[in-house]
Amino acid sequence: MDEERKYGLYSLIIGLLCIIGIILADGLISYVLYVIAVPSLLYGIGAFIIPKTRRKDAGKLPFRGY
Amino acid sequence: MDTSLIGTINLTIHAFLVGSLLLGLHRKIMARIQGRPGPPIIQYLLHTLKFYVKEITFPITAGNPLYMFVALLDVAIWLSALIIAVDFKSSLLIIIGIYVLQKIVEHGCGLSSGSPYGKLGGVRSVFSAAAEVPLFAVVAAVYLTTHSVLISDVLKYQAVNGSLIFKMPICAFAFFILLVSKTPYSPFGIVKGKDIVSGYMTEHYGLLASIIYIAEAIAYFVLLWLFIAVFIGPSIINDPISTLIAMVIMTIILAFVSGLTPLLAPHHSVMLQMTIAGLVLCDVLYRLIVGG
Amino acid sequence: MIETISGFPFGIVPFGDIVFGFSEFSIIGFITAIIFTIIVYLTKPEKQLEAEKFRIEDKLEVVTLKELKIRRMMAIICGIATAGAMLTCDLFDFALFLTLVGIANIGIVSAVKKEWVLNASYQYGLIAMISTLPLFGSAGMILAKTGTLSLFELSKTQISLLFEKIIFAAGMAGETGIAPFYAAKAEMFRAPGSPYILMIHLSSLLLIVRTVEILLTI
Repeated sequence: MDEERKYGLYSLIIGLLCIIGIILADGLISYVLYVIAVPSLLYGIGAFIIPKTRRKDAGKLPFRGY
Repeated sequence: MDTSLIGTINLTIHAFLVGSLLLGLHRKIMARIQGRPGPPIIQYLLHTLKFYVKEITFPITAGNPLYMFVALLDVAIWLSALIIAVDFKSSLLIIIGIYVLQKIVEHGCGLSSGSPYGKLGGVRSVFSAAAEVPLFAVVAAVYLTTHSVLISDVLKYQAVNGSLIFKMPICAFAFFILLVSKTPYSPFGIVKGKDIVSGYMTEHYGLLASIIYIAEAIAYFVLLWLFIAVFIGPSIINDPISTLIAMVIMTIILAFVSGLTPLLAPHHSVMLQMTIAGLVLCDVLYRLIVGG
Repeated sequence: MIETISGFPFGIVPFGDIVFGFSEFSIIGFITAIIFTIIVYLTKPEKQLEAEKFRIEDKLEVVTLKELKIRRMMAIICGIATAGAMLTCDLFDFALFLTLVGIANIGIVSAVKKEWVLNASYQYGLIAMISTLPLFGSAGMILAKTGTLSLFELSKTQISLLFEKIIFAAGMAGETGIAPFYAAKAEMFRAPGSPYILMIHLSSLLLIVRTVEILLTI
């Protein structure tokens, strides 16, 4: 598993935990959990949809060739 | 589970869609002003969806996990701004704290990638911190006039005493300049100027760029909503249709401003913003001495 | 009074005479400061690409381990001080946290072995030292005038504190390095090591917002 998907897995786990928290809790804390859940789920789901990189030298800055 | 959260989820989707379409409309009108056909209005939405399924790689120079975290933070801060402003109608000061965090996102995006273009964008973002001074001054002036900074109290005050835009035109103008500096291709858009590729977003592409686009659509909606709520008042903001019409009119005005003005040089942009800040500070001092 | 500024108050922690208070505003600021402190602890510093003078190639700037350790420690101290400043409801404590953040900011960049960064941090340090005088002087004058430093008590008093507020704002401006004193701090931001530099920026911005809240409250 490459680094992008590793971080994706972490944020997916955080997002799912937050959803469980939203279902259990109420009041202000559920709003805080919602704010954390949405971006982590966005990245977590997205990281598993995107294709594997086909770039030759992954990680080099495109504009400087490093 | 809190049932009022379902309303918030609705609101989030509404803000994202309306913000995206307004940004598309902004680009279309700008193109027509400049005599080009321009992209379709749904272009911004299409971009967001397209980039969402594109590959990313972390640059070897990047400082992880900050590189990834700032993009997620961008969504988180504007979501909380949306909830606090539109849902709770809570303190204006919290909104400003959140707007200030947007600077952190821009700075962090630029610095964490290790690219010179990103770094330049980030440093320019720090440089143009002068745009925040009028914001604090506006809050102080609103407080001196209405004796509260809660948005619900400001709305109540306006329901009794009429719109604030006629009572404090200088503050409204300063807030409008803030809106101008947040719209894309604006004269104050030095942070994302095309002379430094894409500014702080240069190294955030693919999925991360899509997440930042989502945040910017929500940010555009929230800022327009704030301007209408704080300065025009409850007669428009209480009805979703008239809010939407007011937002479209604001977008058209902003598109004319962006379409007809060139990009300023960084220090000219900062100088102009500082001049406006000085104007608003004079206004606040006047209100402090006269008393409201 | 406090409800109209910073949102719904949740309660206070009476911890001796250091009173911590929770409101919507302070909780959001506190959470932000703590989350950023954790992220700064986890993040490895980025490697900067710098263009070489009179040559075409780029140079890769790396933060060494020895430099990293001291800077990370100072950044964490800075984060904890910011989080404390968000929660405290005592004017003297707030001034103390503000100066602690100033010292930590100098500490974050002082380990960088570059002449212009050290010069900038020295100049910022001078401004920060000078501005402690109006900061604590204003707190002292408020104590002499009203007999209390607690924000809850100060919000109830009717005495005009305009002069003290202006001095306090001036002290804050020097300590956090905003508009008129910006030059030295902008130079500091050019040092490599993004998470720590970001901590300088975050702490000063959060403290400015908190100061505005305090000045509107009292």
